[in-house]
Amino acid sequence: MNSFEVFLVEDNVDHAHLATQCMELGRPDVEVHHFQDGPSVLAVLRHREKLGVAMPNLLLLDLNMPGMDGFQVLEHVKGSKDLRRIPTVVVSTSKMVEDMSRAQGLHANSYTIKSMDFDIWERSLKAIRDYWCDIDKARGFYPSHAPVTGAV
Amino acid sequence: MRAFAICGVLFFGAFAVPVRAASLPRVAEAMVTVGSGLGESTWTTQTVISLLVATSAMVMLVSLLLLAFHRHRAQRALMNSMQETARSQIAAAERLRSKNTELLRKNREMEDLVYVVSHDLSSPLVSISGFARTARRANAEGDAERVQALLDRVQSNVVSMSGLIDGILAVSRISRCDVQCGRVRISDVIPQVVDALASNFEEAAAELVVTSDAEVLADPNLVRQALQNLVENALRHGCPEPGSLLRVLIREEDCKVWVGVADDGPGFPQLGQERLLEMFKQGTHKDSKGVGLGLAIVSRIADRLGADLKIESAPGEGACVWLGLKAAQAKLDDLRSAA
Repeated sequence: MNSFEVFLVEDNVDHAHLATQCMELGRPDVEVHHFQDGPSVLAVLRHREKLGVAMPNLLLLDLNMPGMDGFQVLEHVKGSKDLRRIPTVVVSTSKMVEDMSRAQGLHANSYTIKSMDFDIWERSLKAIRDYWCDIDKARGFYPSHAPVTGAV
Repeated sequence: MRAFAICGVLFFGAFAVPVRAASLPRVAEAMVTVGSGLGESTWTTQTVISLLVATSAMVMLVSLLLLAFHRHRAQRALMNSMQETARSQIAAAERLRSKNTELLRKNREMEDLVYVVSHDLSSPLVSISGFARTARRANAEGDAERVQALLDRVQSNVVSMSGLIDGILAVSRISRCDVQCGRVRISDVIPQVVDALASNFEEAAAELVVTSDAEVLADPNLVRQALQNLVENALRHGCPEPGSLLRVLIREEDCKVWVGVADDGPGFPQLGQERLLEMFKQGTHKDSKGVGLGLAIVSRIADRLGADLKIESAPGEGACVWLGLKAAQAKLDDLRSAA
C-alpha cells in the first residue's frame, strides 16, 4: 500500500465524519480508518504488532469516550515498546490545562482542540497531517508504511 | 452552705481572733462573774478562755472544711462544665468536618458534571460549525441534496444540545426544589410515566410490564421524575430491537422498597458498581446516542430523597437500575413505636 494511514479514535460519529473529511479532502494518498472506542483500536494495533504488520502513520485520539477514555488508550500505546513509535495526537474539545498536561505527561506527540470555528479546526488537522507526512517522508517511512520496529 | 462557711470564717476573723488576742481574759472574767451570778462558781477564767479558744478553733475548722468542700464542688462543677463544653465542641467540630467532607464531595461532583456538560455542549457546537461550513461549500458547488443532508445533521445536533440544556436545568431544579414526602403507590406513578413517554415507547416499539406493587414514603413528583428518567434511559439504550420488553421490578427489604427498571439491552461496561455510580453522578455515562444526564438526574433525586441507587448489569445481558426508597410501612412502624 502506498498511502499515509491515519487511525482515528472518536466516539462521536459527526466529529469522525468531519475529521475524516479534513484529512482526506484533496489528498488521495491519505487513508483514515475510524474506530469508535479504545478497545477496538488497541485490538487492531496489537494484532498488527503480533503479525509484524506495518503500523499506522498517525493516530488521532479523542479523550472523552465511554468505557476506556483517550488517556487510557494513550497510556497503552505509549507504554508499549512497539506501539509508542506511532505519532499520537490528542484531538479534544477540552481546553483544560490539566487535560493538556496529562496528555503531555503520557507522551502524546501533540494536542489539538476541536475549535468551534470549523475553519480553525480544519487548518490544525491539515497542519498535523502535513507535518507527520513530511516527517515520515524524511525518514523514508512514507510513501511506504512505518515498520513495526526499526530506527526512529 | 457557702454563706454559713463564710460567716464562720468572718466570725473567727472578726470576733474570735481579736478577742483572743486582746480582750479574751477580760471576756473570760466577765463570763466568770456572770457564771458566778448564775450560781455556776466552778468556772474559772482559764476554763472559759480554753472553751472560747476551742469553740473558735472548731468554728474555724468547720468553716475551713466547708470552704474546702465547697471549693472542691465548684471545681468539680467547673471541670464537668468544661468537659461538657469540650465534648460539645468536639461533636460540633466533627459535625462540621462531616458537613465539609459532604460539601467537598458534592462540589467535586458538581465540578465533574460541569466539566462533562461543558464538553458535551461543545461537541454539538463543533459539529454544527463543521456541517454549516461544509454545507456552504456544497451550496457553492450546487449540490442541493448534500446541503439538505448536512442541514439535517445540523438540526439533529441542535436537538441534542437542547436536550442537554434541559437536563442541566432539571438537575438544578432538583437541587433547589422542596421535598414533600408522603405515601406514594408505585402503581399510581407508572401510568403517568408511560403517558409522558408515549412517543418514546412508540418510537422504540417497546412495552412496559409491572410485576408487583408497593407503597413508599417519598416525594411523588421526584419518584415520578426518577422513574421517568430510568424508563427513558432504558428505552434509549436498552431496547435494541422493536418489541423489546421493559420491566418495573419491586423488591421489599426491611424498611426499604427497591424499585428497578430492567431491560434486555447491551448492559453497562464492567467497571464495578462504584465506578458506574460515579459515572451516573457525573453524567459521564454515555454512548453513541449522547450523554446520559438522565441518570445523573436520578442520582440527584436519590440524594434528595435519601434513597440508594444500585446497578445490576453484565455486558450483553441487559441492565437493571434500582432505586431504594423508604417503605411507607416503615413510617407506620416508626409512628407506632413513638406512640
